[in-house]
Amino acid sequence: MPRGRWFIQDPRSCKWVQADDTVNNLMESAFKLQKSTIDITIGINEYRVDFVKRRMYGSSGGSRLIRRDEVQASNPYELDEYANPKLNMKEIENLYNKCKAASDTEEDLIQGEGLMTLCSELSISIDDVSLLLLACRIQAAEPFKIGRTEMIVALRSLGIDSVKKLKSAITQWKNELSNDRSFKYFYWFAFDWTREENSRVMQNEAAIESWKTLLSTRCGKFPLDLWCEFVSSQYKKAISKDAWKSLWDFMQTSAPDLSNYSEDEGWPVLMDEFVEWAQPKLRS
Amino acid sequence: MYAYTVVYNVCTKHQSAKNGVTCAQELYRRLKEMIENHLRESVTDKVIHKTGDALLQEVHKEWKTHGLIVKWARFMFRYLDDYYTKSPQIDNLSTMMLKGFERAVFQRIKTSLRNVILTNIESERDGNTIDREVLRSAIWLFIDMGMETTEVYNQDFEKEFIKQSREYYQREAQQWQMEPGGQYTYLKKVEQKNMEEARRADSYLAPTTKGTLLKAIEQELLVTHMDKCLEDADAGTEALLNNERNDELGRMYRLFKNNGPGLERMADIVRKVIEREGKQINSKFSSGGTGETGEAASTTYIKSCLTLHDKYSQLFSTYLENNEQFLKARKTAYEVFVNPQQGDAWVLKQKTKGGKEGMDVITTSELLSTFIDGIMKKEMESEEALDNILDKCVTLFTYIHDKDLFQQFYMKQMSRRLMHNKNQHLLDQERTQISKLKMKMGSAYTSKLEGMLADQGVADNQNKHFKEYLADFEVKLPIDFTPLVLTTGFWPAFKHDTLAPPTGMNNCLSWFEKFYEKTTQSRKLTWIHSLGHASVVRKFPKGPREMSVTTYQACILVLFNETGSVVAKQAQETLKLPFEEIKRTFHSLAYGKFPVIKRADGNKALKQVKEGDEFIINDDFHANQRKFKIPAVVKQEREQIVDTNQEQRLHVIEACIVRIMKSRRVLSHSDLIAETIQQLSNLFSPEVRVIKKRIEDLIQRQYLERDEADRKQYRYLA
Repeated sequence: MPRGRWFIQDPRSCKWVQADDTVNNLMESAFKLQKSTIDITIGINEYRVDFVKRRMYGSSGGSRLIRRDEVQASNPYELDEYANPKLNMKEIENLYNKCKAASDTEEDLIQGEGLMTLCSELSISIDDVSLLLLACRIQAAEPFKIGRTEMIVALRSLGIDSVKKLKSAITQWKNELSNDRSFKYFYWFAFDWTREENSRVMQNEAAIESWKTLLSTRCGKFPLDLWCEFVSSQYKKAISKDAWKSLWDFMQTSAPDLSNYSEDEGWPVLMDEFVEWAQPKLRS
Repeated sequence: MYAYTVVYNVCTKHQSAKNGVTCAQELYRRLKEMIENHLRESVTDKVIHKTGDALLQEVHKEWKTHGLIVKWARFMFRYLDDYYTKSPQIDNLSTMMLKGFERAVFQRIKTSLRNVILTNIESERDGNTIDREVLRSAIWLFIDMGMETTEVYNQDFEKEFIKQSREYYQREAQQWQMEPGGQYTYLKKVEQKNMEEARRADSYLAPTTKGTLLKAIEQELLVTHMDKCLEDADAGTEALLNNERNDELGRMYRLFKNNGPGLERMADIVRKVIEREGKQINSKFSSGGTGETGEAASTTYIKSCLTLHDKYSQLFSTYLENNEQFLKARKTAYEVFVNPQQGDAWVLKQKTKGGKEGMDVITTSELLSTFIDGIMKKEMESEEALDNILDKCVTLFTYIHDKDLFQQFYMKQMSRRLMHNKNQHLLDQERTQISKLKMKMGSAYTSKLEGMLADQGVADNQNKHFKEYLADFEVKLPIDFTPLVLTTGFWPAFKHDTLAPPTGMNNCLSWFEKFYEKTTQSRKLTWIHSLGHASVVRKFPKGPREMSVTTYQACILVLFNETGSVVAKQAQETLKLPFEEIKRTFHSLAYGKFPVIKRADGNKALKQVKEGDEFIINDDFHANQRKFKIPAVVKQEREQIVDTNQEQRLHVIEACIVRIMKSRRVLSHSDLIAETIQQLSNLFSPEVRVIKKRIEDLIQRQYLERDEADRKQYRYLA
C-alpha cells in the first residue's frame, strides 16, 4: 500500500524539507480521510494545512507550499487503514463473531478454539502456514490472537469482503511467499505471533519447531538440521528477536560450509557460537 | 695604462665596418684566437704527455698561469668588457678565456686527470699522504670548468668518484668482516672511516659531494652488513645490552641514526630484550624465588620493574639521545609483560591464602596498588624521595591495561589507610599521589578518591563542633570517642553492620546521632562498626597494657568486664554478629601474636573456635611493649574486588556504546566496536565478544536497532 511522505518548502531557502514523523502521520491520516483542512501544532507554532490549496498557513501570516510523495513501504504487509472506506464487511463480521463465540474468552478476540473454527471455515489446515499468513496480513498484534478491529480494518483495506474472496486471497498469498522479500517480512512476523505472551523471547523448542515448518523448504544448502541440533543441545538459551531475524540473512548469505563467515560482521553471538561448533562437523 | 688606452682607441674608432665587422669585434676575435693558440700550442703540449702525479703538478701550474693571464687580459681589455661584451650573445672575457681553456686543454686531459685524482685519493685512503693542495686545485678545476654550474663536475668527476669509493669500501668491508675481533672492531672502523671521509670531503671536495659520499659509504658499509651487525651473537645489539657495553651501543646508534630500517631493527631488538627481562621478573615472582611472601614479595616485584625502567631511562638518555623509537620500544615491551593474559607463561601467580592448595592469578594492578599502600604507610625521608618514587609508580601505572581494576584496589586500600591514620603528613602524601593520577587519567577517575580525602578533612572540624555540643549539654561520654562520617558515594561499599554495641559505646553513638541531626538535614547515618578501631587498657598481673584493637575485638573484650568467662555462643547473642565474625575475632584474640584470652579448658592444641567454646582472660599474658596492636584476620578480598570490577565494566561498556550511538545516530558494526575500544582504551581493554554481547543486550532492550536494509548498520533509538 503506498504511503505518503509529506514535504514542506522552506520559504526563505526554497528547499523542500521533509516533515518529521509525527507531523507526517497527522497530515497523512487527515489526507486519507479526505479532509480538506487540518490544524496542527509544530513546536510552539500553530498551522493550518489546506490540502486543496496545497499550502500550510502559519498563525502569524505567511504560507508555505506542501507536497506529497508516494513511497512504497518496505514492509509489504503494511496496511493502508484508510483504503476502501465504503466496503461492506458484514460477511466478515459474521465470520468473526462465529469464531469469537468459539474462543472462550471475554475479550473481543479470536483465540484458541476460535482459531480452529476459523481454519475450518476457511478450509485451511491448522498445520500449514496459512493461518500464520492470515495473521500476518492482518498484522495481528498479540500472539495467537486476532482482534476484531484488526481483522475487519485489515481485510477491508485489502478489499476482501466475503469468505470466498478470503479463501482465494489466502491461496494467492501463499504463492507470493516464493518472493524473498515477502517471505522475509512474513518470517519476521512469525516471531511476534508465535512467541509466548508477555515475553520478549521465544523458547528453544518452539523456535525449533517453527524453523522446521517455515524454513525447511527455503533453506537451500544451509545446514538447517545442524542448526536446530545446535540450538537444542548446545545453546540452551531462549531465542531473541534479533537472533530470529538474523537467521534469515544468515541463511541467505552463508556458504554451505559456512566458510565465508566473519565475526566482524556483527552477527549475533548465537551465530558465532554456531559457526564455531558446526564448522569442524561440516568439514568432516 | 698604455695598453688600456690603445684598446680604447681601437674600439672607439669610428671606422665603417669592413665586411660588417667593427673594430671591437675584430679585436675580440683576435684576442680569442691568440689565447686559444697559446693554449693549444704551449700549454697543451706540456700537459698532455704527462701522467700521474706529474700531470697533476703540471695542470696545477698551468691553471694558475692561465688564471694570471685571464686577470691581466681583463685588466687590459677592460674596455671591451665594459661595452662590447655586454650584448648577450657575446661572452665576457673571463668566460671566453675559460671556455678557451676548456676546449683546448681540459677536454683532452680530463679523463686522465680524473683517473689520476682518483688514484691519488685511493692511495690516501690506504694511508699514504698526498699533496692535498694540488689535488684540491685539480678538483676545483672541474668545478670551474662547469662555469657556474656543477654539471661538469658532477658528470665527469663526481660520478666516477662515488663509484670508485663504493667499490673501495665494498672491498674493505669484506676484509674487515674477516678480521678477528668481529663486529666490535668492525663498527669502530666504520666510525673511524666515516670521520675520515668527512674530513677529506671538507678539505678538497665540493660541498655537495660530502652528503652523497657519506651516504654511499653508509650504504656499503652498514646497510649491506646490517643484519650481521645488529644480530651478531657477540656484538649485536642484544649482546651489547646484555653485557652492558653501553659505549658500543652508543656508537652503533650514532652509525645507524640516519638509517631508518637499521634504527627500527635496533629498537626492535631492544624491545625484545626488555620483554624478556620483564618476563623473567614475572616468573621470579610467581615461583617465589626470593623466598618472600605477601607484601614483601609484591614490593620486590614492583621495585624490580621500576629499577629496570630506570636502567633503560639512563641508557636512553646518555647513549641513545632519548630517541623516540627506543622509548616506544620500551613502552611496548612493558605493556606486554605487565599485562599478562590468561594463558601466558609469564602470568603472575601467588600462593592461595587460607591454606588452600594452588596458585591464584594476581594482577599487576593489585601489586602496584599494594606497593603504593606500603609506601604511604611508611614515613618517607624526604618529600623529594617520595615524589620521585611516586612518579615512577605512575609511569608504571600507564603501562597497565586494567586501570579500572587498579582504581578499585587503590580505593579500598586508601580507605583503610585514611581510617586508621589521620596525620596531616599522610593526607598531603595522598593528595600528591592523587594529583599525579589525575594528570594522567583525568578528574573522572580520581573524583572518588578526592571525595574521600575531603571527608577526612572535614572530620576534624566536625569533631571539634561535636565536643562543643557535648560541653553545652554538660555531657561527659564514658569513652573517648571520635566518629568519622563517610559520604556514601565516595567510599567503597561496606557491608551493613548488625553489631549491637555495649552500653557505653551506645551512649556515644546516640549522642553523636543527635548532634548530627541538628547540624545537617535529611541525612541518614548508618554505623559501620567493622571499620572502627579502639584502644583498650587492661591491668594484667604482669603489668598494665594498652591494646589497639578493632571495634569487634573491643566489644568482645568488654564482655569480660561483666563475667569472668565468655562462651562464644553467648557473645554471638549479645553482640548480634554472625558467627563467622565471632569466630574470627576470638581467633585473633586467642591465637594471634598476642593471646590476651585463652580457652577455659586449657586445650592449647585446638585452634578452631566452636559455638560452645568458653574463653577466659589470659592472666599469664606477657608482652614486651606497653602498647601494641592486635591484628585482626583480614578476609581475602581480592576475588570480591575483581568480580565487582568485572560487573562494573559491563555497565561502563554499555554506557559507552549508548553514548557513541547517540552522537552518531547510524554506525556500522565494525566502526562501533572500534570506537568503543578506543574510547575505553584508557581504562581497560574490552574484549570484542563482550562488546558484542552488550550490543545484543541493548538491541533487546530497544536502545538500538539494526537497519532493515543493511544488517551491519546499527541505528540509535531515542
